[in-house]
Amino acid sequence: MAVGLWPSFKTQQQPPGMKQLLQEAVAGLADKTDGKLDCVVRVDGTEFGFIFSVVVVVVATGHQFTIFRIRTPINTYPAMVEGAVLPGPVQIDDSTQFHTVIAEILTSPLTRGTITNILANLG
Amino acid sequence: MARFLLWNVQRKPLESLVLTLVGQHAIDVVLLVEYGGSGSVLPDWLARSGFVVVPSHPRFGVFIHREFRAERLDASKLLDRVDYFRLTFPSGTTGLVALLHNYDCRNYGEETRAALFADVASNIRREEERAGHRRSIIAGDFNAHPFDAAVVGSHGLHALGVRTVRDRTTRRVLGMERDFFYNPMWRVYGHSTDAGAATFFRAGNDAVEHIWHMLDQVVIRPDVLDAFPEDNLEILISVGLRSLTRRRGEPDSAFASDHLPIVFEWNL
Repeated sequence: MAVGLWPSFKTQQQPPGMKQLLQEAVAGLADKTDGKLDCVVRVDGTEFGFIFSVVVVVVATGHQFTIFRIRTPINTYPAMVEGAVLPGPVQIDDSTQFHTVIAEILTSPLTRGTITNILANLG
Repeated sequence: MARFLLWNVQRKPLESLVLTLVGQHAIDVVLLVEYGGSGSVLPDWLARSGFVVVPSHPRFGVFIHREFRAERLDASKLLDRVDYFRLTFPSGTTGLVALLHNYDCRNYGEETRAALFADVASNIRREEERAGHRRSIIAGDFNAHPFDAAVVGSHGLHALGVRTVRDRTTRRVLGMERDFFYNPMWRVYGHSTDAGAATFFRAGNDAVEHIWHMLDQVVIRPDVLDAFPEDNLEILISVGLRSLTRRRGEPDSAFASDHLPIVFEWNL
């Protein structure tokens, strides 16, 4: 049987896409807020590529608050991170930078203060 | 008939100007952005004209005539840049109002503004589902142009300059039907020869500079446009006989604010 000139795709491991990376990075908010808040990743497409929004959702009401967004022309790096917590757009080129920036955003006083404030208002 | 005044007062004590505008334009609802109202005499002055203060974030000043009622909604607790209200008109009909002060262009990127726009649109949609109607407006200092991607895009506010797309008030984006707002500010932008061509003036030195910026906007659900007479949407360039602009046309920020006020009508 002719094998053709195609390379084999069978054994190539597909790297995780940005949505999966983000979902793993921001998981666990529901557990840490007694189920009051959840964190979800939403995807939009524009003419320049994908926008991934990391959104805190108030479970009881469905209201949402976006913590940050990642813009990328493809489904992986390089990508730009933007959010009110950052002084300006930050470029990430690999998984190390990804985890550093996301950790910085999630643990920043502004993000922590926002989450604490929302929880306090929920009573 | 209900007339609204929207004005970014730049944290200045412009009480007498606001009071004059309320009388001059028969205003029923006052929406101030960058109010900085601590210690302001405005609540007392407006109370004498039959207005009551509506609790809001400190950056806003919200006053309604006592024939109206307003209830601040829980979504307001999410962020101090947006307040959500259920407004009951003298007719007994209710509408939803979001008052927004979006992140400024100097310190924040467009995607940050788009994210907040998307949150506001989503939270209004949530309140509409709860209320069982789509009588909603979003007003405020958007810190964006009507044609910016953050305003037009479905990843942002999704406010378009058209009332319908193929007779529908939703559009299909990435396989999903998405509702949108109608943005009447397109009709107003640039209509004056100069003064009042938009609400904010900046003669920057960038290669692309629009000079007049329509930062202060109101958008509405296209389904309820009948109650929003577009011809009565106006950028104000004077208070009484006094001009709010300098001789060359830009807002006179020494006298008043660096933003011009707008008035509009929403008749529920």
